[in-house]
Amino acid sequence: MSRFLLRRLGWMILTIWVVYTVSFFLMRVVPGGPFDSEKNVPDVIKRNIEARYQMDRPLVEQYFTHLRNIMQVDWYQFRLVGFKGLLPIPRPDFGPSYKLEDYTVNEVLAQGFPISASLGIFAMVFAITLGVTAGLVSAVARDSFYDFSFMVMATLGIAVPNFVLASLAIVLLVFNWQIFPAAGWGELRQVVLPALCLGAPFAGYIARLTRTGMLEVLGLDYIRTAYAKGLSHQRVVLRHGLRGALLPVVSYLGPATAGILTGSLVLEQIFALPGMGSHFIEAATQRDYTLAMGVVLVYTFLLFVMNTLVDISYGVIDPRVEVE
Amino acid sequence: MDSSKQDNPVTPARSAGTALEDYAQLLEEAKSIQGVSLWKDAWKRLRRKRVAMLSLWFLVGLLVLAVLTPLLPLQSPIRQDAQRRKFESPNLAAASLRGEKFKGQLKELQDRQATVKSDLRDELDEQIANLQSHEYQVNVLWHQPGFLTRGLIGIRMAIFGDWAIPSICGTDNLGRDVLSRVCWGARVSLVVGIVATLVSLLIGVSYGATAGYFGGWVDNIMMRIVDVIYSVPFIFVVIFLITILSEDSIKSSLESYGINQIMIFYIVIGAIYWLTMARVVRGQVISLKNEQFIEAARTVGCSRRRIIFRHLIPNVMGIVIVYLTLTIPAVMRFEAFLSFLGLGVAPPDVSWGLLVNQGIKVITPLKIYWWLVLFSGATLAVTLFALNFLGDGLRDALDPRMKNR
Repeated sequence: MSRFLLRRLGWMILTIWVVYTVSFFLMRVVPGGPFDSEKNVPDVIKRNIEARYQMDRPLVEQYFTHLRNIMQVDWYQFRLVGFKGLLPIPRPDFGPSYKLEDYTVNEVLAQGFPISASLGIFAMVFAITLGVTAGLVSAVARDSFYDFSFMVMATLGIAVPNFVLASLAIVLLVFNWQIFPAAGWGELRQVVLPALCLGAPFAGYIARLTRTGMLEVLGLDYIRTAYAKGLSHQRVVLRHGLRGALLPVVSYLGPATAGILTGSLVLEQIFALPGMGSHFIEAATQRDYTLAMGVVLVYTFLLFVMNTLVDISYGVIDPRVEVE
Repeated sequence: MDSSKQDNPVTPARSAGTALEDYAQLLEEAKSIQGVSLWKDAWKRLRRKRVAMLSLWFLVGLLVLAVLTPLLPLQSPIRQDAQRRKFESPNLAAASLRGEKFKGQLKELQDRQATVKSDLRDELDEQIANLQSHEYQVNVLWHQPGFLTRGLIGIRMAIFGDWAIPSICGTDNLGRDVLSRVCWGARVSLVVGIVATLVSLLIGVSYGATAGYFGGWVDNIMMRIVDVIYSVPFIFVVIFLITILSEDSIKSSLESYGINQIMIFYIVIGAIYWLTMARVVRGQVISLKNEQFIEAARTVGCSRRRIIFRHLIPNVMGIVIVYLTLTIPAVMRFEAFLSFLGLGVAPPDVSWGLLVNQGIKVITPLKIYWWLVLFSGATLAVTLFALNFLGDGLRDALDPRMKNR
């Protein structure tokens, strides 16, 4: 287990380094710095500004300075049953934002992160609960009306892009019937609609996976054994069947996380939520390179952590799988 | 394939003459037996799936419609008339290709011509002739039509003249006809979907086949690279890449090589969707490499080339085609996604994602222009829906494990 985690950590550092290097050189390849668009700035002042941000140094030096800032680590001392140790806590410094006045990238990320995170978590919870329930019902009541309508809904959810869904939802639920507030952040009511739209495609996919998995599992011998022991239908389905059927769903959660991260870009834009995604789009279009790179690195990190968690939970659900 | 060929009824006791006859008869019989190829078999299974077939016909129809769009009597997709025709809801009022604005311009010129002195008249004459000329109209009413498109537009003008389908899907904030924009957007969306998928096919198949064929440490390194790229939230990097490549100076230097924005788009999207394809192809090649029929072919003395093209590739094709039909909707959705964010297809080109975006931008609580979102969004959704169903159907039809189930 610890070997697995260590190896994952190694891969993560490698990946983040690759992403950092690629994006660093990409943004420096672009002719013209972030301050070129400032009008009427005398050359001397521009040079001063660039010196302030160390942009007058050679490219390689900039690369390493920046890398060192990002790789900063705080050592946290801990004591565990008489065992003393040091735990590294990453504390990256992404530097100042090029376009947002008076903000460092860290501050922007710190503001945006909770919003994106709660949106993503709500969407994920919604996708899993709805998807698994619908899939379960469809599998147990196979070829029934419920099965059919759930599967049509699931396919719809997969096929309709989330921004189309969101715009239709805004037209209907916000403007027409005024059930939900249009935009803004802070109340629970304001999270619901974006999270629903974000989670819908994944709910559809999870429903189909659960259904297929469940149908496969219900035909296996150990289910028959469970019935033969005299267990109730409910107990067999929920305790014995579902556990086996959830494996494909769990392995889908990795890609689903990536999809939710991506989807949140567009939904934050539509619902005007000040999360990391909307900052990223703004940064990319305004060429605020430090901010854009910070967001990419944070998302890479998140994705890696989520994938590792998924792999670990895979072993927890199915004892036959050894985490490796 | 045909096991009947193996039980040869000819016994050595018979005379040579009858043996020959027997052989001839056997040959006759063998000719009358039609082998069922993998593709025929798959097609038979696919035809039984009603939803998949429906999707197939829908997509074929859409493709034909998109190709023939310049031929249809549609209004101009880019001609603006914000004063007269802004936000018309779907209606059946008669419309013309050149529109009211054109008539206004023409009338103004003619009025002026009637009043001015003779020496200016020639100049105005020229202006009027220019305004009515075919070339001028084509360039104003359509955005940089290609050679073929120009020809189709010419035919359309010859057949339908100025007549155009009324704005049955309404008009947008600049008075452009939504129906026409959806049709022209279909061309861009479909082309992006198909071309980017082909790019991903090219990279994925060659990469995966190389890794699978060589095996060993080459395979190991190549697949680790894929793993690393997999764990990058690639869409962010792509957005990054697109913004950098659309920087003015880089854009102009790329354009000097003949690469425009839409081509960058194909390449970048294709470059991220090859990962799954590479993995799948590699797995297939590895498992096929050691199959008995490949060994048999080698024993019979087939050349390496024949083995690859005649035995390996057709066996990989099935799964590749399935992934193609599943990649096209993913790519189209991604294109729509990027266009929606304003990073994809740039106006005056239109694509479905861009149309939805423009529709959403003008929605306010006071007035809902539902037709701006509904038609483009629904077309996009239905197309993706059909592609998904077709992909599922093809997977069932081509997957040998599902055979006869």
